[in-house]
Amino acid sequence: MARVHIDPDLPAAVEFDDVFLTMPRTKRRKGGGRSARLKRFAQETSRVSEPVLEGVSFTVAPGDRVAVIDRAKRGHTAEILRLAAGTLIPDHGHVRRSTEVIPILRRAGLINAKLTVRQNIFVIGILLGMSPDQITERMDWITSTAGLGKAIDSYARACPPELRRRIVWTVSMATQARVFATQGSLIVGDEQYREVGWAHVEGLAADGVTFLVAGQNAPVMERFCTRAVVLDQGRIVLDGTVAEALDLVGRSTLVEETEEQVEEDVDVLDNRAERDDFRAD
Amino acid sequence: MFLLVRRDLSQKYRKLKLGYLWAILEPLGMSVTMWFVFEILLGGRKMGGQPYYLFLTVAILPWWWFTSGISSSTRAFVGFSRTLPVSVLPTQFSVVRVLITRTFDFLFSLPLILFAMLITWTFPGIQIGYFFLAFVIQLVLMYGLSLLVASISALVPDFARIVRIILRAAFYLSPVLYSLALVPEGARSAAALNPLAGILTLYRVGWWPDEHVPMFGYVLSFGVSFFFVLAGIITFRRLEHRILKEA
Repeated sequence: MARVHIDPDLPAAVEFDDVFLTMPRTKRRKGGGRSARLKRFAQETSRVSEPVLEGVSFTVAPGDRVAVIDRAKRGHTAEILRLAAGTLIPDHGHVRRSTEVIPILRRAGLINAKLTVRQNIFVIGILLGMSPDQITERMDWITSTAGLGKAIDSYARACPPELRRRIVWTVSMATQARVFATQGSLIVGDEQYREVGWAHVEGLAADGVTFLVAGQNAPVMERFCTRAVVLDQGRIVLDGTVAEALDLVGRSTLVEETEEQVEEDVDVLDNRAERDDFRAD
Repeated sequence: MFLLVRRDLSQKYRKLKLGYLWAILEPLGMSVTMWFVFEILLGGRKMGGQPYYLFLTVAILPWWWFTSGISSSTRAFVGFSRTLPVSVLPTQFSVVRVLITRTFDFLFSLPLILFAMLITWTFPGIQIGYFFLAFVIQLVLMYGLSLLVASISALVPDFARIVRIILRAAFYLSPVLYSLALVPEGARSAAALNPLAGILTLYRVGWWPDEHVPMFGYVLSFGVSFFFVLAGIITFRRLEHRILKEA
């Protein structure tokens, strides 16, 4: 029944075996607006799917910390994470995993503004596969790590995006999974919170937890990752050290991350509209 | 799962002053209107068992559950598309979540039947057991249909509108307002092809044992239900990877 098939006998943490994937170029539900429809009518955009991965094979051993980089600025590294976590199914080929992979994506967008922070923690925790009992048990840890304090029983609409990211990050970490797949920066929050995050993540790394870090955040990758996989046009062009990868791609700056944050802030606004759609008819 | 449903329910009713009462008031308004039109304004013609108000209520509640469940399932995958990329739960959970939320609405509205029984002072016989059978069959049917509708409308947004038209037509095609016994002999097997025909009849036989249709009618009706369930599951399996891509 479970969507995510887990193969405990697999020696690798995650294994991509000749994976092919195409994705629709625009999301269908976003094409509902009049301007989008006109554009499509004028054939400025199309619904044709584009190839994202074309025969990708690589293996992530337990304890690996792999940076996944796409040479294209707007790459498709998020799809790789989703494939690894099993929330996306490849067109051809197989993705196998020996344990649960927790995806950390869309951090702020997951928060439902109409629920309290505590309720949000439960909902996200359940989506990530925790049982209500486990969440209750780890609630103290989540509250203190995310620095929630009194905010825990207020409605999430009052939370700034920054805090939302922190909440989702902390809940993801509370799953105590052995494999994490994160996009963009591995660490969220302001300077102070980053220190907490780093301490936690490096503790996990020392403990042999596997990480897939996607995006273009060079400093984080240099500091944290032991290995890098570079994709170009849907194929792996390099599988080596982070230094080699960055030499190949050219050192990118942190620009990507700020862009992502803007995107997520838009997500938050979006979220409100989308939730309102799910109403009594 | 139930925690998620509870969140959905509380979120749905929190803003409304009358809160959970709305689960009752909506079908109540509908049954009173229908009763007024067909009993008072168009009285004289017998549309079904007596008392007619009870006859209507018994079918309108399940109908309401059916129609609201199916029409909200058109948004099941789209509405939760934000969570699908991270959710490690099975994809069909978003459909089940919508379905269970609507089922609770239905259960909350059941006191209306009690109310109708009291004001008409009509009580069911032993065959009321069929009511629960009908509930189970309808639940299974709705699971299949919701999967079917949700899968297709995640990929083709127009489908949601088609579903709305079909549901409206189905209201008149199903024996909600009338009794299946009033359908002319020749058209009866055609009417029995409607999966709801058998279900709604089963809901009613507790009060009106004459409502029973021949075995053949039930077989046909539930056969079609079974077909929809199968179709829903197969369609979902086939489309799952594409639904996930849209998220």
